[in-house]
Amino acid sequence: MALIVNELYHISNKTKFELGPISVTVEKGKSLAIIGENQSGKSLLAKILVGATKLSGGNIVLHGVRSDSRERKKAIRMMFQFSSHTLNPSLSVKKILEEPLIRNTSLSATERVFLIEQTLIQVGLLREHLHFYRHMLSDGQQQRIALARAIILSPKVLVADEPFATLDPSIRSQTINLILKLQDELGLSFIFISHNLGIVRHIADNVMVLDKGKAVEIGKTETIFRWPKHDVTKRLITSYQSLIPQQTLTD
Amino acid sequence: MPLLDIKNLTLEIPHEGKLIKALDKVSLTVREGEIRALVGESGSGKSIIVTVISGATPPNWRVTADRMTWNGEDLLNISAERRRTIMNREIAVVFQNPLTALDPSVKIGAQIKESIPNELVVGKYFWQRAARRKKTTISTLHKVGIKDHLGVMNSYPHEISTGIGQRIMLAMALVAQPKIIIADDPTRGMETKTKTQILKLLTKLNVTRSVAVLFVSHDLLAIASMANSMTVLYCGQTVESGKMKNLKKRPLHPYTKALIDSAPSFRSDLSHKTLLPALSGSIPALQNVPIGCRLGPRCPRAQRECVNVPSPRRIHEHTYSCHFPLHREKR
Repeated sequence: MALIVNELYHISNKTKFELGPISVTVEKGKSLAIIGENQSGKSLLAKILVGATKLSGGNIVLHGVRSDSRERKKAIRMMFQFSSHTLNPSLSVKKILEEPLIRNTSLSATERVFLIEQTLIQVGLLREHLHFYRHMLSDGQQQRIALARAIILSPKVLVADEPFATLDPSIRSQTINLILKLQDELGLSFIFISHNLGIVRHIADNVMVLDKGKAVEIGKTETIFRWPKHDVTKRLITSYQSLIPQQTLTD
Repeated sequence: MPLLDIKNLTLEIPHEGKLIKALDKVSLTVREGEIRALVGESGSGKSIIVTVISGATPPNWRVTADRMTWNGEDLLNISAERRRTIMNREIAVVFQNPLTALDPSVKIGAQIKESIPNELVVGKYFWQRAARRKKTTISTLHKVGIKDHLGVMNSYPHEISTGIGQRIMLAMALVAQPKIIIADDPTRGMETKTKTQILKLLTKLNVTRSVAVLFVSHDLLAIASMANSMTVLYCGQTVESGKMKNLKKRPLHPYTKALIDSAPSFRSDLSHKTLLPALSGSIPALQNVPIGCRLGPRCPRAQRECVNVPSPRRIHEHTYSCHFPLHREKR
């Protein structure tokens, strides 16, 4: 059971930017990191995976179900880069988390509140946070709400666009631990974009390197970090290695 | 003699009728030709320190310090005119976001030319001086690694990328030939390649021109690769400061240890997908910071004494403020 992307292809009408064809498989409970330079199509790929942007060719199959079905849209959820910008300042946490439930499930009001409370506890918050608004929460808590919103429909796949970039180091470690824990508990497949190769190396099982819309290298994390083949990968890895002392590339 | 010497700097900001201590007895020294990193998370007051040094504080902020000197001159009691001269000629600040720090309605070339101090422009007639300014601008742009100088000089700030923008900010800082560059989180949100280039550039300037650099950031990976010494801030208090390699090898303060642990790249013994050691809780807001040691509620080693502010203790070059330092733990 896995998320299989077959020959995914996208060409945007405005900029004529071509993405793909990309083929990749993400197994249940595994993490895929997407790395690459700016303008390489990372965010676009994330948007296509969750269905926010239509693909021009190819297909996405999840557990044998084709991409355009409603089921799949419920099973792949997204976490955005600036979590604070994606929370509506005039809605309480309860309303924010209730929205996906109203639209996607037939739960009654009490069941919804119960599920929201459960999810809040799952991401390390309290029941009281139900009635909080965005400005009353700290950065880390906002990130947790964003995560709660992503996992409340119990998805199979979580797609995150630079989830750690704007977080402070100590909050970042907490978020990483939380995601690792949830992945362990729920068997989530986790696809994320990151510039922080240290984190990529730590939590990703597989890495995909994008360059100008093409997937130039896909492979196991350790393999890519130790024996990068493509020039783009080599450049990324060496510039990362140059920051860390005492570790060198093995040829 | 240290170039910039700050001892027990306290800054109070009025908020709802009360005074909040945004900075509580912060000490910081930068020696000539040194790269010092100022590390702290958001809300630790690192950007506020930059504001205080540059003298851009609003009139209702109250700044007190035992000592705050620049090259022997007292920065707290200084005429506005003298301060401007110092800021213009000797201290250069590179702000966080080049897009907001640059004037959006003026071409970049003109902005760089304008920031060259008059004394550095030689020439008897105005056309000679203008030519001189242009020449200096172009050579500085080359120095910061911009090859297409004409294209950049003729564009407006919104037309360039962040990496280039950061270089332009550095170029503007460099034209006055300062003694110190204060870089306020210059690598925030940058991809690794651009980041390494900017860091290399700063290191090169430090080596070739012996410019001191105060590098303000929370990106430990970047800091560890270039800085000689480091000062760690938490919630407006200095928790530890000393030589980079000592701090990295053997942090004495629990917070420094947590910070270093949060970068998985430093650990070779960490196995794949294991939980990272992390402090619980989050950074308190300035309006309600805990009394005593501000790390108290989040600290795994906190005991009753921690409600009193620990006084800084010193071992050789290494200063730390903690009642229960991690003395015996070797890494």
